Amino acid sequence: MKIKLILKYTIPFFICFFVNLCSSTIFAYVLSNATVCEEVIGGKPTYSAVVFPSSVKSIYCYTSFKNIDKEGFIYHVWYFRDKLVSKIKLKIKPPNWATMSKVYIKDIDIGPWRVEILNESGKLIYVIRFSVVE
Amino acid sequence: MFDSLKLLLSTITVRDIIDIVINSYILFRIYVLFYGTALFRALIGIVILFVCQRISSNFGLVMTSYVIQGIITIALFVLVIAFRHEIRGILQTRNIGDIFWRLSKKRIDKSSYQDIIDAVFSLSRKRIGALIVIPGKYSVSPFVTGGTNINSLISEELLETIFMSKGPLHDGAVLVDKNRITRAGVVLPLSEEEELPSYYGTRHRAALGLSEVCDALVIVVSEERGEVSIAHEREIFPIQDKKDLKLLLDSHLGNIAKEKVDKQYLRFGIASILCFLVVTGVWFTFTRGQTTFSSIEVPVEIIKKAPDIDIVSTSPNNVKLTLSGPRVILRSINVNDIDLIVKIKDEKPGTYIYDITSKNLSLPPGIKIVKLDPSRVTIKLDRIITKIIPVQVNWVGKLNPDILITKCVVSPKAVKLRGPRSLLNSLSTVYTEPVTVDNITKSGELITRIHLNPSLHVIGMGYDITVKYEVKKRASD
Repeated sequence: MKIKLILKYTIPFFICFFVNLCSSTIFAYVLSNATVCEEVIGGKPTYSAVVFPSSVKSIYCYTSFKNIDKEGFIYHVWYFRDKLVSKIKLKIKPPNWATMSKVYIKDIDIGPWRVEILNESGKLIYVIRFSVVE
Repeated sequence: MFDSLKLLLSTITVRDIIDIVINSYILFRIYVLFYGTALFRALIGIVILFVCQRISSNFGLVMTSYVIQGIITIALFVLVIAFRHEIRGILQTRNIGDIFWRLSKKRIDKSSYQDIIDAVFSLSRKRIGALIVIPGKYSVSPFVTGGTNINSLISEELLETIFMSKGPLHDGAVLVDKNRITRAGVVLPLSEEEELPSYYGTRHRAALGLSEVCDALVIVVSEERGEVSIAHEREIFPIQDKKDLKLLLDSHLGNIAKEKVDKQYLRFGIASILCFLVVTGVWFTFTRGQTTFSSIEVPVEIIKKAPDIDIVSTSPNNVKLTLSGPRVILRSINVNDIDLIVKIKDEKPGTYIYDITSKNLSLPPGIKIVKLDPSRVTIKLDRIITKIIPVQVNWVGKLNPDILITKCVVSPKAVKLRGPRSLLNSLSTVYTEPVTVDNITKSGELITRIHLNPSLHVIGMGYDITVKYEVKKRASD
């Protein structure tokens, strides 16, 4: 009777544990390119740089992945002077996928920026650092 | 009362003692130089007036204090004018030691003035009138006129020759200096004393006249009666025999009996102590008596023991103090003389408010705290941790529109920082000092420094950061 009771409460726990374990290990991919650029033309980043004049008005964060085994998503998190500006959720699909996000630049946005690329569970994959100047 | 006195005494420094001693000595020398003169009595009057002025000032009698102050100022001018001859006589003394350190002086030796005594009584017997001036401490030159320089050793025969009734110099007085007769036929100032006996002639009036204005001793031999008289310190009196004259000369010239010497030194001793006390009192009145107020801004110094706890912020960093105390001390006080220390009791992370009281202050002796602004200080404490944080270049300036800075590598990529936990936890990037892009036209390398909050410190390396950058022409991208 006691064994039954123990199994009744422990089996669901182990099932949940293994499901989570499997789901996190199943979603795999390789980050092949991550850059910030002035434009994305024909699906390719153009004028990639680490310093942008404020006159560009908008900056793209371009990321491409390969060997994606299943559909999932990643995050582009934009920071200006360590302050969160935007967190964008982006879908990625197998086998290879490129995705991008964009921020609009105003004159008051002059200074150091960074974009953190996070996986589905919020783990940091890559950081791109750049500056906006006059 | 005792505490106040103790506090007052604790403010005295070696410099102050030197100041008091020098001024005491000056006062004592004034006493020695002017004692027995009319000027000395006038100076005592001035001192009494000064004491009255200080007392009235302390009691808040403003008008009285100002009036007495005015009287003292005028009296000092009047004294200098009225007693100019006496002052000149003192300052014209031939020996510098008489002014600066000597207590009494000897002008004639015993053998020389024995000749004077013998000559005086010989002249007296022969009814030959004579007037002999023996200066005291000070020169008689400012008070006498005329005469012929003689500069000869004193002898009974010479004195009789000078005062012989048919001689050209017999009407005047002879001046004696040390063991010499320096001048003869000298004219002395006449006394204006109205109560002088009728049998005293011009010779006696002249002798008394000189004794009124200086400390000289004048011997007069009456031509009519053969009487020997002495004029000294505004008085004229007859002398019966050689023994009395000798005693007077002994006293006048410093060759006095041991008991009298002891008495004289006792008088000087008492005078020196009084001078010291008077000067000390006046010194305290001037330097410590005048209480005034002053404001000063001092930094808050915080003392903590725990090494893993640090002070994140202090608000305010400075406290304005209103102080009261002697004007002289307050004028010379500066920030370095005052310590405002707050000792941290609860050394745990958090924000604490401490009341600042006089216990937190270390003030110079004699100074009191009147007001603290503000009287509270807020101190924020935090635990000290270390954290590795990535470095990013802080590019600034105007980028050349024809180029692109495509790559930038910093070395080291991250730095290990030590600082308050709350500050480090909120920090995810360390930026460099601004690096200008204005002059960048091609790839290169530069060295800059990291820009840190003052509460943070880099561990294990310097603050320098090497930046390698790659430049491409915009058209070629």
